[in-house]
Amino acid sequence: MPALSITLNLESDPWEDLKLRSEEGRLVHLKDAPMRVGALPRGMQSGKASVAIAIELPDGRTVVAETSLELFLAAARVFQVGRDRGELL
Amino acid sequence: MQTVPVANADRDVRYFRTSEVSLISGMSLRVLQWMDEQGGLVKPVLQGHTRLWAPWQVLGCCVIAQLKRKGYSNQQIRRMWRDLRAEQIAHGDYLLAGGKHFAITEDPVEFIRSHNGRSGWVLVDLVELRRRIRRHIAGAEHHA
Repeated sequence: MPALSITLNLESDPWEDLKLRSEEGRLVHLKDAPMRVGALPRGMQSGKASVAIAIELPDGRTVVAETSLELFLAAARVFQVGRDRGELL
Repeated sequence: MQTVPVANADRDVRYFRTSEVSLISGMSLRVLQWMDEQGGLVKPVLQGHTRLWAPWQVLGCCVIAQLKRKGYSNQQIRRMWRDLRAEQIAHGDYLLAGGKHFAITEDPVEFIRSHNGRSGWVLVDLVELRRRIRRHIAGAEHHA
């Protein structure tokens, strides 16, 4: 996926669409789910590296989501901005 | 490089058919047709009844597809399109969108740092999208 949504602070700017899904019983929120992250050297359509995140669901299924390494690293740097501002500990 | 001769168009540009744009951008043929007829966001040239899209227009369609998937409305996308220049999108590294703020930037983190108070952003990797288009061209040439 060549685009990524990044939210610096979910307390001040929550994902409203997920709140709605939660009310409709269509949200699985796992706080301590087995989660894996790994890099694929040529995972993007362009041949550049991607990052895969695997999350195991309680029903035994696993969700794997992928984004580009570039966007993943950019997101990490954005969170560092929040930490530098003292918003994220 | 395959070049489609089109009246009132650059003869050296490789133009894309709507089916190719759909394949690259992930937008349906119907949405692409709507964008041309109603939206006027990205206007392809016409060769008879065939719509032909220049590379920068294909990139624009890819960007619009990504923003629509992230929940941006047609109105918000239209405003962005009005404010940004096509050549910025054609040569920029990232498109960064946050509410009413849109920017083409090499350093999205610095832009976010300078917009203190805004929490939610959408980051589109324009370099990746351009690579996809180039890869499609290379694949089409390989199969020709």
